[in-house]
Amino acid sequence: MSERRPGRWRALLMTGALVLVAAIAVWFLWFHYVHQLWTRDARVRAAVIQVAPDVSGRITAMAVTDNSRVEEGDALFSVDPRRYRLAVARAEAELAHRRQELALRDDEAGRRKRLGRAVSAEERESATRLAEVARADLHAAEAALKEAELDLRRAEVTAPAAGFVTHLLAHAGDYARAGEPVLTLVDGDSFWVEAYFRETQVHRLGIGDPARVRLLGSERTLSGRVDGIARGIANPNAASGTDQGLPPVSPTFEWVRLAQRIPVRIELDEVPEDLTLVAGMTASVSIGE
Amino acid sequence: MLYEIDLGGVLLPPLLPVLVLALLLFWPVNRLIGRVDGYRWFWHPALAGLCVFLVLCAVALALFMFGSALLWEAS
Repeated sequence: MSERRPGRWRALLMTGALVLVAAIAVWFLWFHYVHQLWTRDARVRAAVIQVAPDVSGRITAMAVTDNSRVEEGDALFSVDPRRYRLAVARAEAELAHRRQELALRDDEAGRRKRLGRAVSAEERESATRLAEVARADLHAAEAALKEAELDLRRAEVTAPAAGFVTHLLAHAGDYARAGEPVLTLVDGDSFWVEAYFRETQVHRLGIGDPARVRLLGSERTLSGRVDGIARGIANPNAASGTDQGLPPVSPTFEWVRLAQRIPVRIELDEVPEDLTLVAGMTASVSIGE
Repeated sequence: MLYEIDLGGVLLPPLLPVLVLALLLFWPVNRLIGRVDGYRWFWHPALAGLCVFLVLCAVALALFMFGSALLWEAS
């Protein structure tokens, strides 16, 4: 049987059919690997809050440890409050002073008014005005006391959001300056995935498209959706401040050019409790069902 | 879905395991076709072999995506 050779036309027909099947296979490969909206270039991101004290001073107690979980409003660390307690005491004294001063001026003005024509109109008016000045001073002293109390409260630094303490380098005894970050807080509810799609793929992306996210090395697939597409990336040819104000246009190959990548924000539907998400992790993202 | 493969810390594109799987499939298939002398039905045996390999590549990719879809259902 194996000695029988098929006819020439029959062999050509069979080969053509097989080539057709192979072409369909190649189309399948191309469609799912190159054309399909997926990228290996995605990163987990999160809102990173740099926590700085509102008042300066020595750190007396650090209530958290590195990488610990905190809820919103939890104490993080406290700045030495003694200076701010003294400031409150001083503001209270100032307030008492202003209050007495106002009472004095009020009494004076009332007396002058009752005396009627026995004192000059100028003196009466000046006494009334002085009483008003004393009243304004009293309001200023009240505000100063409130500010001192606020400073005292701010000596206790609390977490602005629920999340994780990261990169904690300050310790009790360190000096904290107002406005200078002491620790970093990663907002635990803010994780999203930034997928970098080729610029050729972005035209086929739509807001709200379902997405699947797979973290590197994880068996689990997370679901999400396209939340937004970045509307700008830096143009290296438009850099200014160079020689004579002229643009430094980079030379490119005529034949081989690489597609740039556009950041696309993927909002995760649900993050499992036992999944450790770290801002900066690598992920693969695929768009569509 | 397609995703990056982690092999001992080296990140590989999914096409690589697909090609390896296709080669592993092609080996016995090619042997089988050779044993029954199936290539004599075709014009150029090498062309037929290439076509069979491409089809197996598509099958391997489909298997990969089917596997990841199963994992998706499980998670």
